[in-house]
Amino acid sequence: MYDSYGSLLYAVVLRIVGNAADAEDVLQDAWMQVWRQASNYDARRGAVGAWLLTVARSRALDRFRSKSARSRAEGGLDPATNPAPPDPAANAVQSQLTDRLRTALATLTPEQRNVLELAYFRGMSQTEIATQLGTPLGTVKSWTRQGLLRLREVVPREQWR
Amino acid sequence: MSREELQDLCAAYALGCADDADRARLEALLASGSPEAEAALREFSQAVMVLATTAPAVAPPPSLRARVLDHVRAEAGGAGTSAPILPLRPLPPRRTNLVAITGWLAAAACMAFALINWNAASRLRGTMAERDSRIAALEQERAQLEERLASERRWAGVATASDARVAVLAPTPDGDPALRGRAVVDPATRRAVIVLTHSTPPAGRDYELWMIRDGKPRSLGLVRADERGEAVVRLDDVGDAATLAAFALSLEPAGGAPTDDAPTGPVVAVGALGS
Repeated sequence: MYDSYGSLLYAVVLRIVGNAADAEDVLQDAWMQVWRQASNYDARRGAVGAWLLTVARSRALDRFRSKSARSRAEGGLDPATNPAPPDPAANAVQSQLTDRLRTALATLTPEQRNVLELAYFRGMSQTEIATQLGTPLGTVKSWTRQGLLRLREVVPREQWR
Repeated sequence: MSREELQDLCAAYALGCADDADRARLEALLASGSPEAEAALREFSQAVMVLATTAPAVAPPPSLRARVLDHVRAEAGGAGTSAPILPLRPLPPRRTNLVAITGWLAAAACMAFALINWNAASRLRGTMAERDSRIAALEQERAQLEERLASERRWAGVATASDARVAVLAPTPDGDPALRGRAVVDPATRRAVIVLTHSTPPAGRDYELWMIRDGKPRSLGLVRADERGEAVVRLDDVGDAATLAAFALSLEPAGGAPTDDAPTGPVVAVGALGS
């Protein structure tokens, strides 16, 4: 399971926490949580990857929030502004996969993309996003909906079966 | 609730950015067993998986794997022993609403393997799509060839009809002595085929083909010879073959005679229909 999902989880967690050391800590905790709760997971529901992703993302967001609160208190840099440089070798491996996704992302408007990234990789609620962007909540909601619909559309339906 | 409103709820929920009130609303809907809500959440959760995979690819350090597995082994009862597949301590109470988890998981069902195998699957799909379009192109080509073959057969039928009427066109004193032609009319289908040789007109002029019925000419159009001076004219309907007297060729100014019932230039070849 680790070998199947390790790379995807690492990429998502690193994107959230912004540095390799934190990403490793978060993933270790996440995998421990998965281990402890494994019997809670009902395999008939499938989607073990989605479950792993939920656990890892939620832990990464916890780490990101506590870190950025601390660094704000210390007047330091928000770690998210200094993400680790991507590994070119890993990029090459995943590039074929992500080409398609890049195409998908390219079809989003900058606003849709921004809202999705703030929500997913920054863990912000829609109200927080609306406040930060100075945009009405209703607008944030429709950007979210339209953005995800766009992403869903670009991937052929049968790919997901 | 409108469809758009439901989509808003599901999008925010799947993305994990729904405000408390919205989350509660959707969970209530899911708890009531709304199939629309479940379907919408499934759709949006899949889109969220797409979003997750857009994180820049970074290879995890190999040491992390060992670290994770060591910790799991340690918790399972000592390093180096094989780990039992059961949790060793009571599960913590689940804070997350069960409906939410169910929705999330059901929503993203089967996604994991799709993601892992995406690469291979896309390549395979690409190859298959290429093959499909090649097959479609060949099919189309085949259909076109068949149609052409059927058409050729129909025209060949004109020449081989047992009661076909034939006219041999020979040059008049005004015409190129090498100019020759042969016309075949099938009375049953009223089709005619006229084959001409040495039918390239002098520069700036055109040959125009006529049929003569009841002593009156009727234009059949301009003759377009190929580079060898040969021309094949196919006529879909020349009318009643019994009343058709002859075919003739006239030399006209470029573009042909101004009316289709009277040649203006000299008649250069003519052939009466025999029976």
